[in-house]
Amino acid sequence: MHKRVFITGLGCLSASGANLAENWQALINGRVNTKKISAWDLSTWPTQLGGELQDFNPAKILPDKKLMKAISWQDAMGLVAAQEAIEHSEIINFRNNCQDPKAFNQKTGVFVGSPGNKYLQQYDFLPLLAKTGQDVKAFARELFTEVHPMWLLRILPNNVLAYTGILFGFQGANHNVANHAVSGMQALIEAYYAIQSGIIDRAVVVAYDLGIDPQAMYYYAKLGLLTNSEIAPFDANHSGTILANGAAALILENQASVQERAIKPAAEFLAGKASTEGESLFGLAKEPTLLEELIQELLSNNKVYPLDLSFIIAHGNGSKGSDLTEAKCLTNLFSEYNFLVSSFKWSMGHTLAASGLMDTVLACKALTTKVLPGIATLKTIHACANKLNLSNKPQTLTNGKVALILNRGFASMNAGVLIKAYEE
Amino acid sequence: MTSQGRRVAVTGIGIVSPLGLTKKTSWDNLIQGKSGIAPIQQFDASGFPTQIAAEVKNFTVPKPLLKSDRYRTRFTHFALMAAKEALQDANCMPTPQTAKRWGVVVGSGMMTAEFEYLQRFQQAAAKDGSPNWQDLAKANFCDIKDFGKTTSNAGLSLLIQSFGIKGYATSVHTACASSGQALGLALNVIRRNEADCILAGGFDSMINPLGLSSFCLLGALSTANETPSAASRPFDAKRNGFVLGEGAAFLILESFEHANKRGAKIYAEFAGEGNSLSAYRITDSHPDGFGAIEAIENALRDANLSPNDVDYINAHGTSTLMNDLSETNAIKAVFGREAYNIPTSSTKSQTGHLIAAAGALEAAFSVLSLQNAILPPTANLTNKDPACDLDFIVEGPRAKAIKVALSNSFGFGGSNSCLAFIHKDLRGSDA
Repeated sequence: MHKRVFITGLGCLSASGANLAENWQALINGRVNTKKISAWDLSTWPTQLGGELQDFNPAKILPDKKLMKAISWQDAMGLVAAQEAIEHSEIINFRNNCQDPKAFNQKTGVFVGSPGNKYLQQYDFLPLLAKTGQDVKAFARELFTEVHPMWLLRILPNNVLAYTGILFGFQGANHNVANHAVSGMQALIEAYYAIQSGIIDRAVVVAYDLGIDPQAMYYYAKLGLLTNSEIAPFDANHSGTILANGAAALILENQASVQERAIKPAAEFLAGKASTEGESLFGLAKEPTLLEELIQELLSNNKVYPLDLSFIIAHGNGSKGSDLTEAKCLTNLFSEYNFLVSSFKWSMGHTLAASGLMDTVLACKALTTKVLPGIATLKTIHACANKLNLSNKPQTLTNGKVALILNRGFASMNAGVLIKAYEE
Repeated sequence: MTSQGRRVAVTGIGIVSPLGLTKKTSWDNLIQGKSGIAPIQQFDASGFPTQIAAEVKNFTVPKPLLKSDRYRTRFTHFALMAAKEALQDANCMPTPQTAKRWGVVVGSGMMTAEFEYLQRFQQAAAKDGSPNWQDLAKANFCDIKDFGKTTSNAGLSLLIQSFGIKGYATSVHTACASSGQALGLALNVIRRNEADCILAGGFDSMINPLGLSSFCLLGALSTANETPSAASRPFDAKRNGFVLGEGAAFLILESFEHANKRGAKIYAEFAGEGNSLSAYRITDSHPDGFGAIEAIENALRDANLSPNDVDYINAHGTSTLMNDLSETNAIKAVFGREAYNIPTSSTKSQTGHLIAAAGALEAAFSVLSLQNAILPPTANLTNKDPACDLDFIVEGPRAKAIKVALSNSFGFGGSNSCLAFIHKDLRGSDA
């Protein structure tokens, strides 16, 4: 039997703000927060822009002050976003006062979209390599004096999942998706299905990424994916994306859990779907046929009609390949409808594994406030997107109640979710 | 159709393991009691406290066939070989007409860069041990091939391209529970009708100076360098750590409806999965088995089985002090007095620990146990640990027809997986 699933807590951390409210204000005010990277000296690089967090001090935010000794900086972002969503949902208070906290914990899952490992995390071995050169025997001999014994534990790709459980006590079903930029959205979709199946009643969904990893940026630049101006999706002069650090989180709950807690959700989660176009690791199909089919199936399988849509949040990462096929897809499917199309990455940059979940969190905010931020960097609409209802200013939402959020990533992955304004 | 959705069959198996390069050789060598553990050959490990591992042997790198093949690493080679064997075994390949109904779900390893790559980077851009980004820009270091090899979903992408899959695709990582959880996820994707067939499994290799270092630093590995084949001794009183292994294993999971329609050979029904989070410590399992208990109970519930139905457990059994105690206590907690009557073994005693690929390899062995009516032994259990006192099949392989097998995987970080497979004839072949 189909269960209704609701979104009851939101968290967001990016270059645009330390929490959801600040991120939202940046979007509404048209503030671009990608700038010259300050953490590293990239002064001779052709692309030097990134979305860095401002004054991020996780040790002051996280409940366990010693935690920063056990985890990496990127893990801390995920945990901070998770904490904001958990606090927003008020599930901890409810759990602590409910009749059976153990059962509550066992029915609370944790689903994480993770970047996998980063080049940066392996740099702890560089001093040792510099000292020992090609001599593996010397490398082994010096290992214990040069590298921290807990190194592996600090870089586990599932640390955010593990510590969300340890810090907050949740013990239910879990997954840690490491599928490049669709990781967060796939984690969200799997959390939804886990609730649908009845194995859990609610889930913390988290996604995080450290886009500003210089070695990775170096490769992205060589692939021609980065811009040295700003992210301007669907603009005639769009020239690439800007990588960013960030995290997002939300809480999903089934209807019984929402009713028991007598709370008003932020939105209803309707459905999600992800699939590959079967192209190369870094490439997308030239024609958006499979993206179109994914959207059509997502809508028709869930009895959502184009007229139900209020707006679409496009992946809109500013890169030519993705923007053009995405615009073509949306034009082919929806040009006769007048709903709004926007995207958010122009403000905080592309947070990769976190981006799909972050867009969903911000789309929830748009549904609750009935205001959709525009694409502030949009000056001249690209010919391929001129049939889409795009704006560079915030728009008041008047029609439709459903938002479609799209997400794309390496391995030619496409993903989409549908969320709906809350109705009892 | 069950209450959870469509029934799912296992119709193909592919294995590349320390015991062999195919399903048949791996299984035969397992049952013959051979050990895959030996002194490390891939590099000079003589300076490390642990100098042994379960390497894949006689492995030659296949000729690149596709442009994307340049992104292959040792462990993605394993993945492609095992996946190809599984597809051939199932006698079913994705076609342009069926590609969208085929999925791929992998549990992949945690290594970003191979040791050789890190060495090259250090020489190009970190001569004094700390990265100098100006040097990197000048060094002409960039080769997109390296980026392709070190991207988190590169293995997934290679599988997608090599076999023409255009449906559900994902890559998960929960340390040693990765491919157990990947199989569980794939089961649910077919149940909910998002795919008819899924290539599901895992691949990993941490047998390189970096991977070996990381576990040596933790003191998690056995140092029985003089007696490699006896180093992995799950549930034994003298166990002193696990042995690193490497390889890949894939299963072809298929809806019964699809399998019946094409007259597929069915190995077993994949009837349920249990998934839980221990929320205890990052490395240690809870000594009482909490977390593992819930995973096993959830798998039984999901498969609509009772504890009395279980005939065999392929244990996680790593050969570490705490895991083996915790798992023993979990089995006792779930099965009560019956726990002593359920044959249980750890095949890691012969294969070593394949980390992210372990769950898939052990799921494959569990399915083969159902098919062949032979239960693999726990090698090297010669000193009884009074706290680990179950029926661990110490005498050698045991001939026994079984109907229900469980396969456990528990990971660093507290993610737990238990998979339930049942004999193909137990519930008939109705979809």
